[in-house]
Amino acid sequence: MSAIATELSPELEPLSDTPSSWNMLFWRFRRNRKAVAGACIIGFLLFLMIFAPWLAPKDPLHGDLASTLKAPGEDFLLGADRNGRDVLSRLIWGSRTALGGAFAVVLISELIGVPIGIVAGYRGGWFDTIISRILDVMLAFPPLLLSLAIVAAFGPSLKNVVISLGVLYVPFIARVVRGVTLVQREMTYSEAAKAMGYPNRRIIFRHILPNCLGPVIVVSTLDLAYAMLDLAALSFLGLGVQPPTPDWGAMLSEGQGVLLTSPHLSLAAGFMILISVLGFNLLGDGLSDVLDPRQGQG
Amino acid sequence: MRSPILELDDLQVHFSTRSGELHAVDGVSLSIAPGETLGLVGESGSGKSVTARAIMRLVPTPPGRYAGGRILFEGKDLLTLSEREMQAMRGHQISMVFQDPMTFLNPVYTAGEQVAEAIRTHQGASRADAKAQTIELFRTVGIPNAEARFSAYPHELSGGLRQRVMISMALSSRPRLLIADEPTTALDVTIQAQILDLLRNLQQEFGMSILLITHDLGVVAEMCDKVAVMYAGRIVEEASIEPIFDNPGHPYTNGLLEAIPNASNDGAPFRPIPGSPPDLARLPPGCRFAPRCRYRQEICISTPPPMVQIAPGHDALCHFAGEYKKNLVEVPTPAVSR
Repeated sequence: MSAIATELSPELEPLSDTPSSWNMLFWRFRRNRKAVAGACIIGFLLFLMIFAPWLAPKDPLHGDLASTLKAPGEDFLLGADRNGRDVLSRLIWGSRTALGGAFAVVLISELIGVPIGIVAGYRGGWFDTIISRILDVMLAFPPLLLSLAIVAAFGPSLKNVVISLGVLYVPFIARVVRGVTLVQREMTYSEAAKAMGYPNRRIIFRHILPNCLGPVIVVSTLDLAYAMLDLAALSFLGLGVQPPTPDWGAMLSEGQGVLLTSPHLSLAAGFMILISVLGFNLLGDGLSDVLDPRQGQG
Repeated sequence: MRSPILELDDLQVHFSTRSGELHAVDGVSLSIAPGETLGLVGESGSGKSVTARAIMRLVPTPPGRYAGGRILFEGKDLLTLSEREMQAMRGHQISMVFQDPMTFLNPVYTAGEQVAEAIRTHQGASRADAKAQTIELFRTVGIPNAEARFSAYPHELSGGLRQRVMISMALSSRPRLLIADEPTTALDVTIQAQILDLLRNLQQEFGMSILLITHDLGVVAEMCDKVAVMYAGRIVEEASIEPIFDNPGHPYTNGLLEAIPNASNDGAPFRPIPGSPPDLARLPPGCRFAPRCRYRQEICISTPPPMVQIAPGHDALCHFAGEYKKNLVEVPTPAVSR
């Protein structure tokens, strides 16, 4: 069989020891300071979230009225709140609602937004026009405002807040996926896949979707930061996490009334929100540099 | 004569655009016999690539529209098939090789995985079996170090190797017809020659027909049994190889030949065809080539030319087919009107 072909002499094109794509990505990731800093912060928060029961020095729900609003000190490292509960323990436990909630919001938005975006981009035509206009309309309203209305209608709870935010975040992800799909659809490999007789569904999900992954990861990471802020804001307003469950947004709000006498309450909760949003933003920015194809080999 | 494997019968492909309905393929009739290679030649925008995609039913609709005619593949009209039936044809009976070796392989899968996917799709082979067949195919198309290349990502391969991978993918289910859309245009000259050699050898081995789309008459001379020259959506000349090169029946073909730089033509003038193909939305009323033609007469501008037989199997769409050089006055500098 092989006699048929015009042989290339193997030494002309040596098989180089190119590192695998994953090693390459990891190497670029490690050299990116923003990405590493963000990953460290997020890693730390995930650690808090997972090991909260072992890390928290006290029961976050147990109040000791004798220690009401106690200042940070030996007994309470970060002080106690109005009900005499340990602020440090509540912060550690609060990472669960904050991170868990944000992840759930983004997951919901991805599950709905990615298929919508990819199908709209691939099909084009009137389907794309209708979907895009609907997304534009959704984008015209700030998610916080709409979510406020939805939660007001269905009753305040973490679940309602997460679902409403998840749906309202769909346009952010769907628009990005649609844009990437429009580009990928024009690549010859999409046409080649069609010319090989593959059905549309396979081309969309097996050939185009993996090429959307980079942008989806970046946008999702940045969306996590927004989701976290919006969740905290809704909890601050009393619509999200309900007492006595510990949550940073709710703690911020509880500390508001005693801001002048016991600033440690709001400061501690605010600081956690600040660094986690910062962490997600750094990671998202860094990842967008790392995954940028223009930095890759051609 | 053997019954043709592919026959285009007055094929019409139109595109609706803001400037009106464009007849990108306007009544094209062609036929390819089993084992034959037909070269489809023309400038950019002449409709040759649309014709190729139309055969695969890959023209996006809308804005495209199959406005008329038939595409007979082994006697079956492809335009009447359902999308599902068509999917079974693509990559199985009819395969296509594309021009751009940089982008026709999906960057996220290895070269081998992509060829193996094609084999599994069309032959229902197991994963291990498909891999073995892929490596065998890689050897057949002359990819050195085939086992190692199986797990190479497209960006790790050179343009020539990628083109070989594409060819192995297209040939994986031994198609009856291979459509090669400028398969060598993006490659450098030595690799071009290798790929053409490879295609010719594989054609003999597999006994398939090839529709070779190109703008390079040198490639045609080397590869094809027959040539069809396309201009502004129409076939303007069709013949076997020798008559086309020895005695081009259409001034456009003649122009294409004169425009080839040639070291051995003893100082004969090297003449490009002036102007560019007409805007498909505003075609001239008579012969579509007339505005650029050095031999045009009154009739060329006013009346569309008929298909004239010059010799059996040699036709040209010209009022003066084969005899235009006898036209009394050669128009010195053709006015290019658009």
